[in-house]
Amino acid sequence: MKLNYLITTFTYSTSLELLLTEIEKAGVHQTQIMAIPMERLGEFQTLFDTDLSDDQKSLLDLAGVFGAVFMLLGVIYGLSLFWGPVIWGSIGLIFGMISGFSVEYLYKKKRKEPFLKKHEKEVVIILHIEDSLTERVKKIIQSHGAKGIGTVKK
Amino acid sequence: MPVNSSQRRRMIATVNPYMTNLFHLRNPFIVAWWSASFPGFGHVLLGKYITGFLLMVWEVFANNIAHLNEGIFYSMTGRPEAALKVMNEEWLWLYVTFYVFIIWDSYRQAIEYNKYYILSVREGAPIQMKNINPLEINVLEKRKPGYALFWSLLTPGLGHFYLNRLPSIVFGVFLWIIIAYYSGLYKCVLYTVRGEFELVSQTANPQWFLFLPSLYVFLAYDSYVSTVEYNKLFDRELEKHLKASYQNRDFKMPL
Repeated sequence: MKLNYLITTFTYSTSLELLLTEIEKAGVHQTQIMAIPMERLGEFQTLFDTDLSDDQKSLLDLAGVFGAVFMLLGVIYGLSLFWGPVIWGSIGLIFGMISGFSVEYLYKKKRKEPFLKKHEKEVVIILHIEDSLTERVKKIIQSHGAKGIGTVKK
Repeated sequence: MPVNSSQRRRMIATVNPYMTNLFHLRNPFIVAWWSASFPGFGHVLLGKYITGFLLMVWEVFANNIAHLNEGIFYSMTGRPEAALKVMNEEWLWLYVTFYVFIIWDSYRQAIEYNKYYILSVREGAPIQMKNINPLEINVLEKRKPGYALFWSLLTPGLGHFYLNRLPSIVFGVFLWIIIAYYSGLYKCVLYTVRGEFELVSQTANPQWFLFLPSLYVFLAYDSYVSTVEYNKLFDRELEKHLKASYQNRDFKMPL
């Protein structure tokens, strides 16, 4: 029997699980499927050199802080200004969110934080299947949002 | 091999029909800061919902009796005499002790929970799932953080509908409506849109209006961060499943 290798990459999603169950239904046994989740690079690395003080994960922390502070200031002074608290509060919110985001973004860019590249965690799936099934399984994979497929024919 | 929860000491997350609660890394200063902006927010961020909601009710109650927001408003617009006149000293004393304690407590808890989270990940903590009962359903799914942010900014509380976190929906919407009503927010928005700015200042109630900014921004921030963390939980759970079911030793590697 001729056996081929099909190699494909995915991001984590419900459709990945749908795909796996569907190719099992098409006649591929579980022992013919190898799933290799890629490691989370840098997890907890940044945490220790800052003594548990920064999770380094969100870009909206400062945007939230500045947004609330400037919105509050906008409301307080807006209550006695002509445009009133609604407009001044909104101006404060937008100004605060943009400035907070910019400060955090520039700071983390300077420190070259890896998450700015926005890596999505990936899974590599290797299928070891019969030649007769290959084309059919390939079609199933293509319809489930794979990031790429490679075939090794023997 | 399925994870046997009895062999592990630490749980990383629980998926319940009404909500998902989990440990994740948090910046203790950010948690402390939200506690300072509105007591109770820090505890909600940490996943301590009942504690957080009780503290939020306390904040609204005590702040209103002490007239603290009005005091802040008069002080910052250069009318300290009016501030002294309106504030209730007795209640301010009580308020301050609670206020400082809440900030300190949430900061301390955030550090402890971070350590707990790291240990539980290293231990290979199980993710407990009981996601359906006769009244509700809650599944782990991939969500877009931008949607949570958008809906929450449109009307605070809607972002938590998207997240399927029932306590936050009920409490967030409830608190938002009460504070928006007493502050006269929506009337003010209408007057602003019509350009009747004199009416805006007459309608707005400073004591209640000063609650709005932190509540508004917090609910948006919280729904965004939770979406991101729920997505990570989804990844982690699927990764466990894949490793358990699709790494058979009989698989012939192409070597």
